Amino acid sequence: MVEEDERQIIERILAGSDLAFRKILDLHTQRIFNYVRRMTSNSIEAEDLAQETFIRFWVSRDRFDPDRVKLTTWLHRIAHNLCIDYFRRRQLQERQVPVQSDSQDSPDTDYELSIRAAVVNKALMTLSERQRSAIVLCHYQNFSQHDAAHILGLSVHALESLLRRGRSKLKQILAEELE
Amino acid sequence: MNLERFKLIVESYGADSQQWSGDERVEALEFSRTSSDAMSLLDQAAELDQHLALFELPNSELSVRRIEMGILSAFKQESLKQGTLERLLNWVLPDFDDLAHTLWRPTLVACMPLLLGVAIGLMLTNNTYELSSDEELSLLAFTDPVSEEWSNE
Repeated sequence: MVEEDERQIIERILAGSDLAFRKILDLHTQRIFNYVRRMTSNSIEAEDLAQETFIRFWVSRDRFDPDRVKLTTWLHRIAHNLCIDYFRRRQLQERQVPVQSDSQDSPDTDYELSIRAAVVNKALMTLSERQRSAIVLCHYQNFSQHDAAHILGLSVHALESLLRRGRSKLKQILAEELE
Repeated sequence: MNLERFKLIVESYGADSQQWSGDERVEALEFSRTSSDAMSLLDQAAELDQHLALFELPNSELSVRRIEMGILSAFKQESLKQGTLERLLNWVLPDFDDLAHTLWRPTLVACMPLLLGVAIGLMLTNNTYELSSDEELSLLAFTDPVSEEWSNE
């Protein structure tokens, strides 16, 4: 399931080596940040969530079984669950204190991204969290169907269904926005 | 492979065959070469893929560094949060899983009062009061050697 080098690093992490953990940070931080960044559309929140992902991994490292799941899949699963919690919290806050209609957009989106990228970003943010996550995992993070389904806690069939509906919605929005 | 299944694959995973399931890839690629409808579906999916590819993230080197720094500083704080007593207890009481390897720790701690007693004892014996030569002479002067000899007899 895992390559020999990664297995050695994981064994050292499970034994509590913080040096091995730093190695994992070097290897996976960028990828986890990209996933969370695309999910939240907010760099600051994405930094916090990516940070929390690795801290949670370290704290509950004894629950990780490298024979059953790849490390990157496990980390993405933690990140995904944190994103879901984040969206729930935000929904609750928005119910308590109504915010302006463009709340889906992050404050930094327009400054950081090119116009066309911002349009795609905005379109992605209109999807449900699960549809967005499915597309980000398969299209941008290049996960196989099996691994993406594992991260989302779904069957491959359910993942396909999410992807199809998500892509169909994106197609409609982007056709209008980019023409 | 039929058009219905091919449509489902392309609408779900896009036009890039590398994204398709390995079990169906060869069959689906062969089907796409023989069917004009399949070709048309591929073109439509490729258009959306191109749009999605526009969403490139900006350079995030600084963000990544901040994340790593944040995690490492959280680590330091976590280790500092443990009090001295807690750290001592953690050291003394071994993990249940690793009991055999760390059995020496409680044994050593149990021996500590004994070692402490021996150390205190040694310190006290070294510090016994030594008489100066004048004090020794005056003490001898108070003894009565004649009466001592008689009592011996």
